[in-house]
Amino acid sequence: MITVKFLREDKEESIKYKENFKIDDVLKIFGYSSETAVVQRNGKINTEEETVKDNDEILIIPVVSGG
Amino acid sequence: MYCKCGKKAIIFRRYSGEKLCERCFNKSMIDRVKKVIRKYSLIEKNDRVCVAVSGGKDSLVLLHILKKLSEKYPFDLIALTIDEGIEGYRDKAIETVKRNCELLGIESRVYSFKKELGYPLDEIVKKDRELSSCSYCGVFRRYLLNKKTRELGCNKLAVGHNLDDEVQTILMNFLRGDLSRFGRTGPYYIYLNERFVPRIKPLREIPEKENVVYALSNNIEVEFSTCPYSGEAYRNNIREFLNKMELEQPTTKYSLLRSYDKIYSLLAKSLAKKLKYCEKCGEPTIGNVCKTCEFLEEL
Ligand SMILES: [Zn+2]
Ligand SMILES: [Zn+2]
Repeated sequence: MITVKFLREDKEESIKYKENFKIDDVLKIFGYSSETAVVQRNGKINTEEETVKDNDEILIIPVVSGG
Repeated sequence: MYCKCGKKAIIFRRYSGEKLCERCFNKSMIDRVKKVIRKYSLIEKNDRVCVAVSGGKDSLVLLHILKKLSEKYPFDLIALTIDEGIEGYRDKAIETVKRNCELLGIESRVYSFKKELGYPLDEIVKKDRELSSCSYCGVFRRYLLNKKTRELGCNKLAVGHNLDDEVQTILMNFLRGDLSRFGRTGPYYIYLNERFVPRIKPLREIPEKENVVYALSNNIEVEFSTCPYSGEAYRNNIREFLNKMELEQPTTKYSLLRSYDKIYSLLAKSLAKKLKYCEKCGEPTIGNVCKTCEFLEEL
Protein backbone atom coordinates (compact mmCIF):
# COMPACT_ATOMS: atom_id res chain seq x y z
CA MET A 1 0.00 0.00 0.00
CA ILE A 2 1.05 3.57 -0.65
CA THR A 3 -0.23 6.33 1.60
CA VAL A 4 -0.93 9.66 -0.04
CA LYS A 5 -1.34 12.86 1.99
CA PHE A 6 -2.06 16.40 0.91
CA LEU A 7 -0.58 19.56 2.38
CA ARG A 8 -3.01 21.44 4.64
CA GLU A 9 -5.70 18.80 4.18
CA ASP A 10 -6.79 16.20 6.65
CA LYS A 11 -7.65 13.61 4.04
CA GLU A 12 -5.41 10.65 3.52
CA GLU A 13 -5.71 8.17 0.70
CA SER A 14 -4.28 4.73 0.12
CA ILE A 15 -3.50 3.28 -3.24
CA LYS A 16 -2.42 -0.21 -4.18
CA TYR A 17 1.27 -0.67 -4.84
CA LYS A 18 2.19 -1.54 -8.42
CA GLU A 19 5.57 -2.37 -9.85
CA ASN A 20 7.33 0.37 -11.83
CA PHE A 21 4.89 2.92 -10.58
CA LYS A 22 6.34 6.44 -10.72
CA ILE A 23 5.58 9.43 -8.51
CA ASP A 24 4.29 11.06 -11.68
CA ASP A 25 1.67 8.28 -11.96
CA VAL A 26 0.56 8.93 -8.37
CA LEU A 27 0.20 12.65 -9.17
CA LYS A 28 -1.94 11.86 -12.21
CA ILE A 29 -4.37 9.77 -10.13
CA PHE A 30 -5.13 12.83 -8.04
CA GLY A 31 -5.30 15.31 -10.91
CA TYR A 32 -1.85 16.82 -10.47
CA SER A 33 1.21 16.93 -12.71
CA SER A 34 4.90 17.77 -12.45
CA GLU A 35 3.91 21.38 -13.18
CA THR A 36 1.31 21.70 -10.45
CA ALA A 37 2.75 19.81 -7.49
CA VAL A 38 5.93 19.13 -5.54
CA VAL A 39 6.23 15.76 -3.85
CA GLN A 40 7.90 14.63 -0.66
CA ARG A 41 8.39 10.90 -0.37
CA ASN A 42 8.91 9.73 3.21
CA GLY A 43 9.71 13.32 4.17
CA LYS A 44 12.18 14.06 1.37
CA ILE A 45 11.69 16.03 -1.85
CA ASN A 46 11.70 13.70 -4.85
CA THR A 47 11.54 14.12 -8.61
CA GLU A 48 8.39 12.86 -10.35
CA GLU A 49 10.52 10.36 -12.25
CA GLU A 50 11.34 8.38 -9.12
CA THR A 51 9.77 4.92 -8.76
CA VAL A 52 7.48 4.39 -5.79
CA LYS A 53 8.20 1.59 -3.32
CA ASP A 54 5.67 -0.39 -1.30
CA ASN A 55 4.68 1.28 2.01
CA ASP A 56 5.93 4.68 0.84
CA GLU A 57 4.28 7.79 2.22
CA ILE A 58 3.72 10.47 -0.41
CA LEU A 59 2.94 14.09 0.47
CA ILE A 60 1.55 16.22 -2.35
CA ILE A 61 2.25 19.95 -2.10
CA PRO A 62 0.30 22.03 -4.63
CA VAL A 63 2.44 24.66 -6.35
CA VAL A 64 -0.23 27.35 -6.32
CA SER A 65 -0.42 28.63 -2.79
CA GLY A 66 0.02 31.70 -0.65
CA GLY A 67 0.48 35.16 -2.08
CA MET B 1 17.87 10.02 -11.06
CA TYR B 2 21.18 11.62 -10.12
CA CYS B 3 22.75 15.08 -10.17
CA LYS B 4 25.86 15.75 -12.23
CA CYS B 5 27.79 15.77 -8.92
CA GLY B 6 26.69 12.21 -8.17
CA LYS B 7 24.14 12.89 -5.42
CA LYS B 8 20.47 12.04 -5.62
CA ALA B 9 18.45 14.59 -7.58
CA ILE B 10 15.55 16.38 -5.89
CA ILE B 11 14.39 18.18 -9.01
CA PHE B 12 14.28 17.51 -12.72
CA ARG B 13 14.07 20.67 -14.82
CA ARG B 14 12.31 19.40 -17.90
CA TYR B 15 12.88 22.71 -19.72
CA SER B 16 16.67 22.39 -19.53
CA GLY B 17 17.20 18.67 -18.89
CA GLU B 18 19.10 19.41 -15.65
CA LYS B 19 18.80 17.02 -12.72
CA LEU B 20 19.90 18.69 -9.51
CA CYS B 21 20.62 17.58 -5.96
CA GLU B 22 19.62 19.80 -3.05
CA ARG B 23 22.97 21.58 -2.84
CA CYS B 24 23.37 22.20 -6.59
CA PHE B 25 19.72 23.31 -6.84
CA ASN B 26 20.09 25.90 -4.07
CA LYS B 27 23.28 27.22 -5.61
CA SER B 28 21.65 27.44 -9.01
CA MET B 29 18.70 29.43 -7.57
CA ILE B 30 21.02 32.02 -6.02
CA ASP B 31 23.07 32.22 -9.21
CA ARG B 32 20.01 32.80 -11.37
CA VAL B 33 18.67 35.58 -9.16
CA LYS B 34 22.11 37.17 -9.09
CA LYS B 35 22.31 36.96 -12.88
CA VAL B 36 18.94 38.67 -13.42
CA ILE B 37 19.84 41.44 -10.96
CA ARG B 38 23.13 42.05 -12.76
CA LYS B 39 21.79 41.75 -16.29
CA TYR B 40 19.20 44.47 -15.76
CA SER B 41 21.01 46.42 -13.00
CA LEU B 42 18.03 45.90 -10.70
CA ILE B 43 19.96 46.61 -7.52
CA GLU B 44 22.96 48.91 -7.27
CA LYS B 45 25.46 49.58 -4.56
CA ASN B 46 23.97 51.23 -1.45
CA ASP B 47 20.38 50.94 -2.69
CA ARG B 48 17.69 50.80 -0.03
CA VAL B 49 15.36 48.02 -1.06
CA CYS B 50 11.88 47.46 0.33
CA VAL B 51 10.73 43.88 -0.17
CA ALA B 52 6.97 43.41 -0.42
CA VAL B 53 6.48 40.37 1.82
CA SER B 54 3.06 38.74 2.10
CA GLY B 55 4.06 35.65 4.03
CA GLY B 56 3.58 33.39 1.01
CA LYS B 57 6.39 31.30 -0.47
CA ASP B 58 7.41 33.63 -3.33
CA SER B 59 7.98 36.78 -1.30
CA LEU B 60 9.67 34.91 1.55
CA VAL B 61 11.99 33.05 -0.82
CA LEU B 62 12.82 36.44 -2.33
CA LEU B 63 13.54 37.90 1.12
CA HIS B 64 15.82 35.01 2.08
CA ILE B 65 17.75 35.13 -1.19
CA LEU B 66 18.15 38.93 -1.12
CA LYS B 67 19.39 38.71 2.46
CA LYS B 68 22.06 36.24 1.30
CA LEU B 69 23.08 38.54 -1.54
CA SER B 70 23.13 41.63 0.69
CA GLU B 71 25.80 40.02 2.83
CA LYS B 72 28.18 40.21 -0.14
CA TYR B 73 27.03 43.34 -1.96
CA PRO B 74 26.19 46.37 0.15
CA PHE B 75 22.51 47.24 -0.04
CA ASP B 76 19.84 47.70 2.67
CA LEU B 77 16.70 45.63 3.11
CA ILE B 78 13.36 46.35 4.78
CA ALA B 79 10.39 43.97 4.72
CA LEU B 80 7.13 45.75 3.90
CA THR B 81 3.83 44.00 4.53
CA ILE B 82 0.35 45.23 3.71
CA ASP B 83 -2.37 43.99 6.04
CA GLU B 84 -5.48 43.98 3.85
CA GLY B 85 -7.63 42.98 6.80
CA ILE B 86 -8.57 39.39 5.99
CA GLU B 87 -9.28 37.68 9.27
CA GLY B 88 -7.96 34.17 9.71
CA TYR B 89 -5.65 34.55 6.71
CA ARG B 90 -3.45 37.63 6.60
CA ASP B 91 -3.12 37.92 10.38
CA LYS B 92 -1.57 34.43 10.41
CA ALA B 93 0.69 35.26 7.48
CA ILE B 94 1.91 38.43 9.21
CA GLU B 95 3.11 36.39 12.18
CA THR B 96 5.00 34.18 9.72
CA VAL B 97 6.59 37.28 8.15
CA LYS B 98 7.65 38.58 11.57
CA ARG B 99 9.28 35.29 12.57
CA ASN B 100 11.22 35.21 9.30
CA CYS B 101 12.38 38.82 9.71
CA GLU B 102 13.52 38.13 13.25
CA LEU B 103 15.45 35.10 12.07
CA LEU B 104 17.13 37.10 9.28
CA GLY B 105 17.64 40.30 11.29
CA ILE B 106 15.56 42.40 8.89
CA GLU B 107 13.35 45.32 9.90
CA SER B 108 9.67 44.51 9.36
CA ARG B 109 6.99 47.13 8.73
CA VAL B 110 3.27 46.42 8.51
CA TYR B 111 0.62 48.88 7.25
CA SER B 112 -3.08 48.14 7.16
CA PHE B 113 -5.90 49.07 4.79
CA LYS B 114 -7.98 49.87 7.85
CA LYS B 115 -5.60 52.37 9.39
CA GLU B 116 -4.28 53.90 6.16
CA LEU B 117 -7.44 53.94 4.05
CA GLY B 118 -10.35 53.41 6.43
CA TYR B 119 -11.65 49.95 5.54
CA PRO B 120 -10.33 46.41 5.98
CA LEU B 121 -10.94 44.13 2.98
CA ASP B 122 -13.41 42.06 5.00
CA GLU B 123 -15.63 45.18 5.08
CA ILE B 124 -15.08 46.15 1.44
CA VAL B 125 -16.22 42.68 0.39
CA LYS B 126 -19.59 43.19 2.10
CA LYS B 127 -20.18 46.61 0.53
CA ASP B 128 -22.32 47.30 -2.49
CA ARG B 129 -19.64 47.71 -5.15
CA GLU B 130 -19.12 47.62 -8.87
CA LEU B 131 -15.93 45.58 -9.23
CA SER B 132 -14.57 42.37 -7.74
CA SER B 133 -12.94 42.65 -4.33
CA CYS B 134 -9.61 41.67 -5.97
CA SER B 135 -9.73 44.89 -8.04
CA TYR B 136 -9.99 47.09 -4.95
CA CYS B 137 -7.46 45.02 -3.06
CA GLY B 138 -4.88 45.18 -5.87
CA VAL B 139 -5.21 48.93 -6.38
CA PHE B 140 -5.03 49.69 -2.65
CA ARG B 141 -2.11 47.33 -2.08
CA ARG B 142 0.00 48.76 -4.92
CA TYR B 143 -0.83 52.28 -3.76
CA LEU B 144 0.35 51.64 -0.20
CA LEU B 145 3.42 49.68 -1.28
CA ASN B 146 4.60 52.57 -3.43
CA LYS B 147 3.77 55.27 -0.89
CA LYS B 148 5.31 53.47 2.09
CA THR B 149 8.44 52.43 0.20
CA ARG B 150 9.06 56.07 -0.65
CA GLU B 151 8.26 57.29 2.86
CA LEU B 152 10.66 54.74 4.34
CA GLY B 153 13.41 56.31 2.24
CA CYS B 154 13.81 53.28 -0.04
CA ASN B 155 14.55 53.67 -3.73
CA LYS B 156 13.47 50.21 -4.97
CA LEU B 157 10.45 48.02 -4.32
CA ALA B 158 11.19 44.31 -4.82
CA VAL B 159 8.24 42.00 -5.47
CA GLY B 160 8.13 38.19 -5.55
CA HIS B 161 6.59 37.66 -9.00
CA ASN B 162 7.78 34.35 -10.48
CA LEU B 163 7.97 33.05 -14.05
CA ASP B 164 4.43 31.63 -13.90
CA ASP B 165 2.94 34.92 -12.64
CA GLU B 166 4.71 36.82 -15.39
CA VAL B 167 3.75 34.63 -18.35
CA GLN B 168 0.15 34.45 -17.11
CA THR B 169 -0.03 38.24 -16.91
CA ILE B 170 1.59 38.72 -20.31
CA LEU B 171 -0.79 36.31 -22.01
CA MET B 172 -3.85 37.68 -20.20
CA ASN B 173 -3.16 41.26 -21.22
CA PHE B 174 -2.35 40.22 -24.77
CA LEU B 175 -5.54 38.20 -25.17
CA ARG B 176 -7.60 41.02 -23.71
CA GLY B 177 -5.96 43.55 -26.01
CA ASP B 178 -4.97 45.65 -23.02
CA LEU B 179 -1.82 47.11 -24.54
CA SER B 180 -1.05 49.68 -21.87
CA ARG B 181 -1.00 46.91 -19.25
CA PHE B 182 0.77 44.64 -21.73
CA GLY B 183 3.64 47.10 -21.72
CA ARG B 184 4.15 46.84 -17.96
CA THR B 185 5.50 43.33 -17.40
CA GLY B 186 9.07 43.98 -18.45
CA PRO B 187 12.32 42.69 -16.92
CA TYR B 188 13.58 46.15 -16.01
CA TYR B 189 11.97 49.37 -14.93
CA ILE B 190 11.57 52.61 -16.76
CA TYR B 191 11.84 55.82 -14.81
CA LEU B 192 8.35 57.31 -14.71
CA ASN B 193 8.06 59.87 -11.98
CA GLU B 194 9.94 60.88 -8.85
CA ARG B 195 7.09 59.74 -6.59
CA PHE B 196 6.80 56.40 -8.34
CA VAL B 197 9.33 53.97 -6.87
CA PRO B 198 10.77 51.51 -9.42
CA ARG B 199 9.49 47.96 -8.93
CA ILE B 200 11.96 45.15 -9.45
CA LYS B 201 11.24 41.43 -9.91
CA PRO B 202 14.35 39.39 -9.15
CA LEU B 203 12.44 36.04 -9.27
CA ARG B 204 10.95 36.74 -12.66
CA GLU B 205 12.80 33.83 -14.29
CA ILE B 206 12.18 31.30 -11.51
CA PRO B 207 9.31 28.85 -12.10
CA GLU B 208 6.78 28.91 -9.26
CA LYS B 209 7.42 25.25 -8.54
CA GLU B 210 11.09 25.95 -7.82
CA ASN B 211 10.14 28.54 -5.21
CA VAL B 212 8.19 25.80 -3.43
CA VAL B 213 11.18 23.45 -3.63
CA TYR B 214 13.53 26.18 -2.37
CA ALA B 215 11.24 27.03 0.57
CA LEU B 216 10.95 23.35 1.54
CA SER B 217 14.59 22.49 1.14
CA ASN B 218 15.73 25.53 3.16
CA ASN B 219 13.09 24.99 5.86
CA ILE B 220 11.68 28.45 5.31
CA GLU B 221 8.48 28.88 7.29
CA VAL B 222 5.86 30.02 4.77
CA GLU B 223 2.10 30.41 4.81
CA PHE B 224 0.77 27.90 2.30
CA SER B 225 -2.93 28.73 2.58
CA THR B 226 -4.61 30.74 -0.18
CA CYS B 227 -6.64 33.93 0.13
CA PRO B 228 -10.32 33.17 0.88
CA TYR B 229 -11.34 35.80 -1.68
CA SER B 230 -8.99 34.62 -4.40
CA GLY B 231 -10.44 33.40 -7.62
CA GLU B 232 -9.47 35.31 -10.69
CA ALA B 233 -11.25 32.90 -13.01
CA TYR B 234 -9.55 34.19 -16.15
CA ARG B 235 -6.07 33.84 -14.69
CA ASN B 236 -6.88 30.31 -13.51
CA ASN B 237 -7.83 29.31 -17.05
CA ILE B 238 -4.63 30.81 -18.46
CA ARG B 239 -2.58 29.05 -15.78
CA GLU B 240 -4.15 25.70 -16.66
CA PHE B 241 -3.52 26.27 -20.33
CA LEU B 242 0.13 27.22 -19.82
CA ASN B 243 0.75 24.25 -17.51
CA LYS B 244 -0.78 21.93 -20.08
CA MET B 245 1.37 23.39 -22.86
CA GLU B 246 4.47 23.18 -20.68
CA LEU B 247 3.88 19.44 -20.18
CA GLU B 248 3.69 18.97 -23.93
CA GLN B 249 6.55 21.33 -24.73
CA PRO B 250 8.70 21.97 -21.64
CA THR B 251 10.12 25.28 -22.84
CA THR B 252 6.77 27.00 -23.41
CA LYS B 253 6.94 29.38 -20.43
CA TYR B 254 10.52 30.48 -21.03
CA SER B 255 9.91 30.95 -24.76
CA LEU B 256 6.92 33.13 -24.03
CA LEU B 257 8.95 35.23 -21.60
CA ARG B 258 11.83 35.58 -24.08
CA SER B 259 9.50 36.61 -26.89
CA TYR B 260 7.90 39.17 -24.62
CA ASP B 261 11.24 40.59 -23.49
CA LYS B 262 12.25 41.18 -27.11
CA ILE B 263 9.01 43.02 -27.81
CA TYR B 264 9.29 44.93 -24.53
CA SER B 265 12.55 46.56 -25.46
CA LEU B 266 10.85 47.91 -28.60
CA LEU B 267 7.51 48.88 -27.06
CA ALA B 268 8.16 49.91 -23.47
CA LYS B 269 8.94 53.54 -24.09
CA SER B 270 6.03 54.12 -26.43
CA LEU B 271 3.55 52.35 -24.12
CA ALA B 272 4.70 54.06 -20.92
CA LYS B 273 2.31 56.83 -19.99
CA LYS B 274 3.41 60.11 -18.50
CA LEU B 275 2.35 60.41 -14.87
CA LYS B 276 0.76 63.35 -13.11
CA TYR B 277 -0.01 63.86 -9.42
CA CYS B 278 -3.40 63.02 -7.95
CA GLU B 279 -5.38 66.17 -7.17
CA LYS B 280 -6.58 64.68 -3.91
CA CYS B 281 -3.67 62.79 -2.38
CA GLY B 282 -0.64 63.80 -4.43
CA GLU B 283 0.34 60.27 -5.37
CA PRO B 284 1.41 59.57 -8.97
CA THR B 285 -1.41 58.76 -11.40
CA ILE B 286 -2.28 58.70 -15.10
CA GLY B 287 -5.51 60.72 -14.77
CA ASN B 288 -6.32 63.70 -12.56
CA VAL B 289 -7.47 61.61 -9.60
CA CYS B 290 -5.80 58.31 -8.71
CA LYS B 291 -7.65 54.98 -8.70
CA THR B 292 -7.35 54.69 -4.93
CA CYS B 293 -9.02 58.06 -4.30
CA GLU B 294 -11.65 57.21 -6.92
CA PHE B 295 -12.43 53.86 -5.24
CA LEU B 296 -12.50 55.37 -1.75
CA GLU B 297 -15.03 57.94 -2.94
CA GLU B 298 -17.21 55.16 -4.32
CA LEU B 299 -17.12 52.97 -1.18
ZN1 LIG C 1 24.62 18.10 -7.19
ZN1 LIG D 1 -5.19 59.98 -4.89
